[in-house]
Amino acid sequence: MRGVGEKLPDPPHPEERSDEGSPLMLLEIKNIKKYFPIQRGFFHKRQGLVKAVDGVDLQIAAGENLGLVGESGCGKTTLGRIILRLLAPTAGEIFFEGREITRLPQRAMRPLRKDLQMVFQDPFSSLDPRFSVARIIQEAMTFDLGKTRQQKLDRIRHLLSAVRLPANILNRFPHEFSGGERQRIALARALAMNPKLLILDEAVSSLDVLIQAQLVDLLLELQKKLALTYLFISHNLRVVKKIASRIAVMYQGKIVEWASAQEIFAQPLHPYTKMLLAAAMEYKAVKPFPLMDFSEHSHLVDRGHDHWVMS
Amino acid sequence: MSEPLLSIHDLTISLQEEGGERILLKRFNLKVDPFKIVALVGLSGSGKTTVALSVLRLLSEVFEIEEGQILFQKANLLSLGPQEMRRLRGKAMGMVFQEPLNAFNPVFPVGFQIGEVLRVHTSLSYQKIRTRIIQLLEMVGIPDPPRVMQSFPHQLSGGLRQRAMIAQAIAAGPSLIIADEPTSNLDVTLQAHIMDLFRHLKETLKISILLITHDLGVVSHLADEVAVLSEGEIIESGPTSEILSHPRHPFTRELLGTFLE
Amino acid sequence: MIKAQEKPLSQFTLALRRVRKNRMAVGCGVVLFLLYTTAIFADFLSPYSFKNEDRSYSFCPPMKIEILDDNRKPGLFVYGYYFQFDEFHKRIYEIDKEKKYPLKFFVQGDSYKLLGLWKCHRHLFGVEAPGRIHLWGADSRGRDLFSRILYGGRISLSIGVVAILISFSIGLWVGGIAGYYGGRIDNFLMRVCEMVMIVPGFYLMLALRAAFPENLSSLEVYLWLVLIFSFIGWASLARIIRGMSISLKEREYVLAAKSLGLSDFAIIIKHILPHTLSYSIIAVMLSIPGYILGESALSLLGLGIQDPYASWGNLLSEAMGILQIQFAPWILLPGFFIFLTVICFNVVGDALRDCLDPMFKEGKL
Repeated sequence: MRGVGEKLPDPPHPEERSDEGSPLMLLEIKNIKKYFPIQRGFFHKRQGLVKAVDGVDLQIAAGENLGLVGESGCGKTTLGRIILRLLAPTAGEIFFEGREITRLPQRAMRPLRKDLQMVFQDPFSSLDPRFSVARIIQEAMTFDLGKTRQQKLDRIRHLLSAVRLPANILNRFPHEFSGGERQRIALARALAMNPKLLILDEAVSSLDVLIQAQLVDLLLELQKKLALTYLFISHNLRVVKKIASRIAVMYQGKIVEWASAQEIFAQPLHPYTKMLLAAAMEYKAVKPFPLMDFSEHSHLVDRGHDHWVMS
Repeated sequence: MSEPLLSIHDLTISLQEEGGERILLKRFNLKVDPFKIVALVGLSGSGKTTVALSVLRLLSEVFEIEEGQILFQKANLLSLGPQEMRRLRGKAMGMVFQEPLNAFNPVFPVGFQIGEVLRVHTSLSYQKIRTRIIQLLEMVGIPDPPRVMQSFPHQLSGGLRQRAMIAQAIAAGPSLIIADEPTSNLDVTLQAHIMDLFRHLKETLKISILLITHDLGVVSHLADEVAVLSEGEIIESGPTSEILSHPRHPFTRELLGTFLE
Repeated sequence: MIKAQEKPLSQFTLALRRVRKNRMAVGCGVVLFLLYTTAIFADFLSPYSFKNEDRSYSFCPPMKIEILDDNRKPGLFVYGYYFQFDEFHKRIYEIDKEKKYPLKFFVQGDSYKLLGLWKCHRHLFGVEAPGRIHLWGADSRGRDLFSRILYGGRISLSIGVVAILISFSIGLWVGGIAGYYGGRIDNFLMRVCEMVMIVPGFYLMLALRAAFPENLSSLEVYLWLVLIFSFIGWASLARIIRGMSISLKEREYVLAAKSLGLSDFAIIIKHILPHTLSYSIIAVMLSIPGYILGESALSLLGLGIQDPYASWGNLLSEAMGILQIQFAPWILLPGFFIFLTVICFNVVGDALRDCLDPMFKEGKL
């Protein structure tokens, strides 16, 4: 299994990309847009659009963790949910393992759900407080139809030990655990069906730094054991640094910079990226970033070493 | 050597629980000098919020204060009556909470809630209060104060809300602000701005700050002194540069490790 | 030391474990169980059928079971009663020590069908004719109140529960679906609810009841009553469940369930409706007395369960006059049973709601 940071084959050049999804890529999204109408008044008249995601292209190769960074409101959470088909995109295509899944009916999506999982941001609300730990994880094992009760039980225990939780918590409830422990339960749930791609939507943002570090270590360890790929969504470049091999910076619904992690930290090119870096690493406050006006022709340009910047 | 503004001696607080008595703070000592930012660092559950609430005497009665003193401007806060404490709260000491959405009342506009502090502690006229609120909002870097004044908490962004809460905390001119994880819920960019704001409060407005956090990064860029709290006990304390360059306790080293990586 | 491997328990097992610790709730649960059991076996437990009357014992006061007679001879028995008229032409009962009727067990009495299936004659206890035993007194026609209360329990205890089960199920589903899907489905369902709620319930009951043919058997009347009650009751519950459902569907664990591939149906049943339980259970428990009283109101107006059939409600309707209450206060005893049932349902409902809530701390009651 590839380790993190190893050199991977270059992703296809934009001109070379066909309309089909590339089979090399685990996940590929093309020109994804998500616009929300602003409706006011008694008759729900449309008065404008919120362009949450405005034409995003991304590629994630197997084993290559992608860090998606940006501030609150840039659209990264929306993008995560679109990838998981929890939200329907207004336009664009999603390819998983080369196969288009954008408009698959929910029924057909179900078998794919075991490959694509998510750990949500808030550990206090992503677990149903009325479910015991055993039931939470069991719920995720919907596709293990052939397994006996004992086998399912063994699998649950196995998952709990994989996330470094004791096995005797099966009958406890979420509120009895701390934030970090709850995220690990959520992680166990996400891993129950052996996913290929795991999306972590600000999964560590609400935890203490020490717990954050522990969780990131755990994620890296699990990646080696279970051949996972992560899409790590965060606003904090400091945390992303430890886990991502490539980083995409998102602003106002668009990707403004996309490069390997080393490149982003060593040589950030886009002004927005520079600002994020300064804030995250040096706690430097920069004047609020002006709303950028993206022209129709703004697109990502390769500045060398596969380092793409918005023009 | 000036007198410390706030000085906590041997504070011990415990809580009766199902499994017995649990000690939240054990012989806790801390001091905050005038015009300084002191950081109290620890993980969730280490007792940091208990410290903040006990200084303001906002702990519920189930918490037993077994021993200790909290000296503020020479008076022992633990021996003051409710009337006297109320006079101090807001006027001499202010508090900034972690989650402004929870700390603000959702049914009143933000301006009204900031005004409340002034109404209680000063006898300014309505007009003067209004002017002062706008002044405060500008001080904390909020653009378009009149609009923000009339907004409800949920209508403001996270950063604006946090700033509004800071405005409320400094409204009556306190000499000490206790900030309980003020930036933990914010983006890094906003965090940087709020840290700047705290620096401004210390240097320009001469307010001392007791900053409670779990992030050593924030500490290194903001605090003059730091005290490390683990399971109710202070394990290390001193000037920030000292502690960060020569940490002695393994826990401090562990925390520092996550920061330095 | 490694503890023995723990097995995951179902929700209900976990909840039951908690309920057991709450003594009050267990006690009330036992009381309810006894009430329902006596209702089921009313014909066996009572000395007389509900129709059995003897005018010479009209408004007879409750009888005392004697243990020792004048000669200090032990044995359970009851004295005979005779009456005289006072100046108001009211009866005054006196004990006639001459007539002794021993108390017997497993006596032959009025015939009945045990559990509706087997024909039987035996009753738990009774006395031989012409003696009568009225443990709790008799009504105006000399019918034994003890027996009638036991029989009455059948109607009153079941009507509330059956109607509640029907309206609860409909209300939960309509509310859950309307809230979860929103949009047109929500619109449509809520308008239907409103139309149902607009109709004044009581008048609807009267109108429906009056529309039935006169000579319905009492079982049919009973079923119709249940249907009418359920039809009225579900709408307000649905509206509230819908409100809760709207806010619950935004919770992150619902999103997580979707990401696991659960169908909408499964999400509503497992994640949304259980969270409405804390409200629903209380609403259900509080409606039951409403139904009991609704039935008695109908009976009062002659539209509910008719004489000679007994329900606690229509037994109470006999107690409508001040004269009756003043001189035969035992007539009010059915009221005590209504009260007892309501209290027990409330306590058990409270305990159930608390015990189904994983965050409830057992120390507090």
